Amino acid sequence: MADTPTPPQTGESSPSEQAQLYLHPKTLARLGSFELRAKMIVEGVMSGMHRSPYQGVSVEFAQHRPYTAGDDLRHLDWKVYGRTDKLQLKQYQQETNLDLVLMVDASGSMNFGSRSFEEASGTGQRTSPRGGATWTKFDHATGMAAALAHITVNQGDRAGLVLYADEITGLVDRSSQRSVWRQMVSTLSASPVDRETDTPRVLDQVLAKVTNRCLFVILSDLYEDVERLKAALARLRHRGHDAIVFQIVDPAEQAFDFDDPAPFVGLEGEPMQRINPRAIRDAYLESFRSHLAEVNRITLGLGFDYQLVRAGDWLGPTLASFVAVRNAKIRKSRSS
Amino acid sequence: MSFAHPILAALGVLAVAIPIILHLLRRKKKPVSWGAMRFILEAQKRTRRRLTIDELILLIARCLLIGLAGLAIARPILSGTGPLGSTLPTTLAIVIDNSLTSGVSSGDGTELDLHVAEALSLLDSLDPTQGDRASLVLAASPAQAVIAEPTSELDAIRRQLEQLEPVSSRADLPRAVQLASDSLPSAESDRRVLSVFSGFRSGSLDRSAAMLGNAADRVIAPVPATTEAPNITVRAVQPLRRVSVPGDPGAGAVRAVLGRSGSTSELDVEVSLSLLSPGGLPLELTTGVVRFASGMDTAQATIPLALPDEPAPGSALRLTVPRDALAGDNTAFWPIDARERLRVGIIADTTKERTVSIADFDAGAWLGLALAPDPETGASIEQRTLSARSVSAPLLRGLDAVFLTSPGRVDAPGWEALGAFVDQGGLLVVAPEPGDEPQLWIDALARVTDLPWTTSRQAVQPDASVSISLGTSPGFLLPIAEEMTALLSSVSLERWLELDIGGYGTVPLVTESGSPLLAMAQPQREGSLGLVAVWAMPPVLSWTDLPAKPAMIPLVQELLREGIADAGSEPIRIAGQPLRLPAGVIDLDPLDAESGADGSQTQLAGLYQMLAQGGQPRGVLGINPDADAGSTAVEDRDSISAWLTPIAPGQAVGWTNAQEQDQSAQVNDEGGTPIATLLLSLAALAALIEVYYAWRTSTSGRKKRLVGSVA
Repeated sequence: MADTPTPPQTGESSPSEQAQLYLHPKTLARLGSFELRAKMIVEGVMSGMHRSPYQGVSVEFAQHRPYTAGDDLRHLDWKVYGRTDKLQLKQYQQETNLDLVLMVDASGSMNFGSRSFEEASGTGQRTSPRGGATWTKFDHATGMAAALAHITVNQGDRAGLVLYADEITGLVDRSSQRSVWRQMVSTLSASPVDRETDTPRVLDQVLAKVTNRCLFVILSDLYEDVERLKAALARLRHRGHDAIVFQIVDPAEQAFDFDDPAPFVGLEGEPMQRINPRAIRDAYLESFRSHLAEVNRITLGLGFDYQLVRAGDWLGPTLASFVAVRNAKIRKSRSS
Repeated sequence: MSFAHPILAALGVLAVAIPIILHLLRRKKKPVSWGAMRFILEAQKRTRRRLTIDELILLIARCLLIGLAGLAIARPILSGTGPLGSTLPTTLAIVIDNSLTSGVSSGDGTELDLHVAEALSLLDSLDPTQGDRASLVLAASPAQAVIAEPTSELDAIRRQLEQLEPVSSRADLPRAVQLASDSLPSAESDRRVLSVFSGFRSGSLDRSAAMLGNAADRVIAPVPATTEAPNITVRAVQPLRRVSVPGDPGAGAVRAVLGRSGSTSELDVEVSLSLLSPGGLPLELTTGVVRFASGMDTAQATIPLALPDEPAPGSALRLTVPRDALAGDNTAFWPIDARERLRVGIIADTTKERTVSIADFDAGAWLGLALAPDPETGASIEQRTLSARSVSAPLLRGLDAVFLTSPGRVDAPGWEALGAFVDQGGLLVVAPEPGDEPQLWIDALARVTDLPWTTSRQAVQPDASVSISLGTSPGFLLPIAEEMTALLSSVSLERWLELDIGGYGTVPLVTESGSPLLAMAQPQREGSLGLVAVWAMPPVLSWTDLPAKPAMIPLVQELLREGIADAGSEPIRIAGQPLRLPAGVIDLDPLDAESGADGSQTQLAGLYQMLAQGGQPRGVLGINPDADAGSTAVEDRDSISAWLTPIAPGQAVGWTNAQEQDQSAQVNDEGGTPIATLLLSLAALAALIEVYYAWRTSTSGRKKRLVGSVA
């Protein structure tokens, strides 16, 4: 992943150094030319590159409407008045900015990783800021969040962070400042990752707080009840929000190629199980793949985007490919 | 259950713990933290029941594999579940060899003593309350089923065993096994065990008879003897002159024949001869030496002997060799045939009384003269002249021999009477009619004796006289062959009948061209005990000058004495072999033997008084040890095992160790045991199950098509 890894870090690292552990300059360079556009109409608070549901001051004509008392005379279309003797006001399509809400799962299951941190980060750092020697799914989610936030603020939009497990455990308010992604990394790095997860519940909590239409990016393994998740995403859709679901899994979880019998203990308080991995491998893989397929199906069914992400893979190509495909789909839908 | 190698058995049992320990150690592994635990739980939920069963079967199979293999290596002894390794009631047939060779000294006692101890130990392992039973067969010939029907009264068998002593006959193991197998039940409700207690020395084995097949479920036998015990066997003792009369005590010399086993070097054996008289102490007569040449297992010697003038009726010679490893075959007997006089009947129309010239002597006259050449010594031979036409059974009664010189004049009833006389053990000597009439009497003789002999109808009369010589089988003339050759050299023959014996009988005298002049044989008729002698010429001067020559007297005297000795049955029998008692004898009363005889079979050597109806004594019968049973040579265990195997096909013989006291079905290393094979088979089965379930639990249906995938 890292062609020129940085020398191993020693001692306490600064927030900016922590951020660089998760967002390698090469990744940023790879994503620099991409824009993250809203697929749906969003309600930003500032003028921007995204369509708004409101008409206002802009350059793009939308429609005429009859003049009523009190309207600003500057918007009268005098040419129409000269031809038809009717007072018509010109209305323009308002363009607004995108609010990106990054929801990062910090439950216990995200604290699993099979690849070494040093290898996966590409920085030469042997341990994560939390002291782990492996590149966990949470580390990967952190990197993805940082990258998406970086893209968003670079294109003038706002990005915010919701860190959660079975409830919201941390927030970074939406901001268009360029340093917001570093703030996010700092918040993520300091957060404990050991609780049970409840994404549907947290989604409802977030929906209660968000008043404008946003683009939600969910970064989680989504190892939870599919029906409840489906209901929560449906409410998100009903409120007019857009969403991208990045389901992060570890390669070891996908392969489950253990040989020797051993006790397995869950990271979210599940009881210890003594198992013969070879004996249950097929049943495990069947359940695992069935679950991924189900999440994929309901996400796409609601009109959201879905991407399965393998923890430890290089972020740059994954995100670049995903954003490019998504943007192409958006342009195609608008032109039709 | 006990084991040949208890330590290995203990290790085998302990080894069962290995898979259990490994199973427990596996549980001590460090837990693996896992994110996608919900899928493991789901998979566990779906596969738990099957995996639990599979792992349990796997653990059991591994424990069984190790445990069974360990137990099999430890060679379990078939004495655990039942007394002989079975939970079924056991029927034990004991065949014990009490033959001559079982008396071989072995440490503190005889081999029979050891085998009795083994058999008693085996009986102790039976449990009559569980339905165990036993029967007992003695293998000494003739084999006897002492307790033929299996019984739970084991004390009765113990008493029989404790009273056993070696006898003088050989072992008949095949017959004994057949009797024992007859006592075993055919139903499969019982476990049938046949135990053969024998040293399996050469003297006990008769390989000519095959063992009965498939008679038992298991065969137990003591380890065959491995060391040969040097042993001398008296095979025969026989006086050269077997009939004793007053004035001529007979004997003169005794032929002693010895056999040996266990040594092959040159050896001199001193033998002693003694005379046993009824009611008297043994009289030591003489001693002699019999020399075994190197490498030879038989030897004989002729020992000069002078008997008392008038040995008491019922006296017997006894030949004894020094005591050795096997005492039962160190003695042999020969009852002396002592008679007050010999009674001879001469059937002839004699002219002796009316003539004064020897030229007119007929055959009867010459024979009478030859039988009583000296009035003093001739008193021992009582002559009675009979008419050829009045021959009848009453007239012949009491005679020892009949000389028939006018056979052409005997009528058919006369020939019948003569045939009966021969059948009862009489000596019949027939000479042709001296006249020129055709000789037709041979047909009648052949009819009453069943002898295939024929003669020419007319005499052969060569131009010149011919000489007489001894035949190639001189028979009774053999002891005096040298003297007779000299005496016969002056005898000439003018005419004779062509005698054809059809290859049956001996020919003591022949012409110079080899034509038989005197033939002797026992009748071919079944049960006939007597002897028939036929001259090819009558002892008259018109045929030959023999009557007038010195050869006539010893020839006729020897013919009479040896003929009488050969006629009738021999005064000895072999222990264990069927008795053929002389006519009129119905019982035997032991004189020197330690136990009685049963009238038809005897197993103990010794002297027996023959008794007729009413208890009338009829002479003495000697029963000698079976010399062939005295071989102490040892046999190869493998060959014995192969010989015994047909009793229980597919089952190895369970050899017991005769040197140990606890011998009940002790299985030795080489014998193998069916249960060890069974355990190994079960271990192999457990191994197959282990391999299958190990593969099954490790693959868990990996070939099944997987569902669900994410692009």
